[in-house]
Amino acid sequence: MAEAKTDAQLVKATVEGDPHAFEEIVERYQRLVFSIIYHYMGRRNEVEDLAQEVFLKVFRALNTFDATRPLKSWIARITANTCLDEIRKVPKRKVRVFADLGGDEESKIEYFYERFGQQSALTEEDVEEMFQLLEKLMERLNRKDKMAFVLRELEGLSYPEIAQALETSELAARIRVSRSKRRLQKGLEDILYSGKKRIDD
Amino acid sequence: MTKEHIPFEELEFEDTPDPSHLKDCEECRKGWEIFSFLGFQVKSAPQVDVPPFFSQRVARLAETPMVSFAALFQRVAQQLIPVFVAVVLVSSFLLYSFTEAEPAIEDYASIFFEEPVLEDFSLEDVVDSLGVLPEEGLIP
Repeated sequence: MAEAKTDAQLVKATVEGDPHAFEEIVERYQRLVFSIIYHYMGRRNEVEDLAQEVFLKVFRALNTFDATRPLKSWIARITANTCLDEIRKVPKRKVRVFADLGGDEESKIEYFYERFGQQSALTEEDVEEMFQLLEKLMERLNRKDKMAFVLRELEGLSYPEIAQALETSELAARIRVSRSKRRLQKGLEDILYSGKKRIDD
Repeated sequence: MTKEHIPFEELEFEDTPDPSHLKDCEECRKGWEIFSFLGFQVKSAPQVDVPPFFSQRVARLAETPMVSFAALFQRVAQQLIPVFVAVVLVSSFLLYSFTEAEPAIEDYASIFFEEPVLEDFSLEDVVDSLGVLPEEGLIP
């Protein structure tokens, strides 16, 4: 069996005009790109178009890629920037605060919290719905904080990788992730605590 | 019991805080439940499937030449630049060679006016030419 080529070899071959090399790069990183876009944007219907846009940008910029750096972080950076640009294109939405979540949504969060406490299994629909709720909670976060949180907690990137993807320092990446966690936890506390208080009352 | 509360934002979702502290601290226990729930939400996030043949399609698309205005402009510019350079070089060479040997004032005149050709003729030639006048009767 032929040994898998390294990222640097694939980049070199693509730049030299090998059409299959780029296909292999896409194959290698398509899951990551799709996942980042879906988890950041929260909408399935625009994932494929944006992923295609990301890979075309990657292809056009490959000759400027510094082969001494990891390709994964570079592709994550292009994906993050594409998502952030896409969000910027949309007229600024009103920042959602947790209190803005509808009563139904708050009840759903309480429902899932109870299910979690009872360790009861979730259906595929439950999982999808719970993610939609998490996505709504994440809308309160600053755009880059949200991206750092998605890259770290949903995609499992390391802090140095996040730092490269967001063109920032490792410390700044850590601060963004921990700030996101603090805000999400506070928001959940507000919903669940006020819910419990309502029930107690 | 540790007096300081657990800084959940600094924990990873896989981490487990000190159980004895959780047992004694109501606030941290509540915080831990919510933090775990958040971790559960994150870990349960659904995945999105990559459509079949996506990589082949994108690779093919990447290979097709760009048809944007910028690309068109770039291509045309690439073709015209050598022609433009050649025109500049030739015209500057011609200009140089014309200005190098500047003609004298009288030479300018010869460019525009043809110099009259002076023929030599004698009195006999004049008389001979009169002899070929038309006959009297034919004169009106």
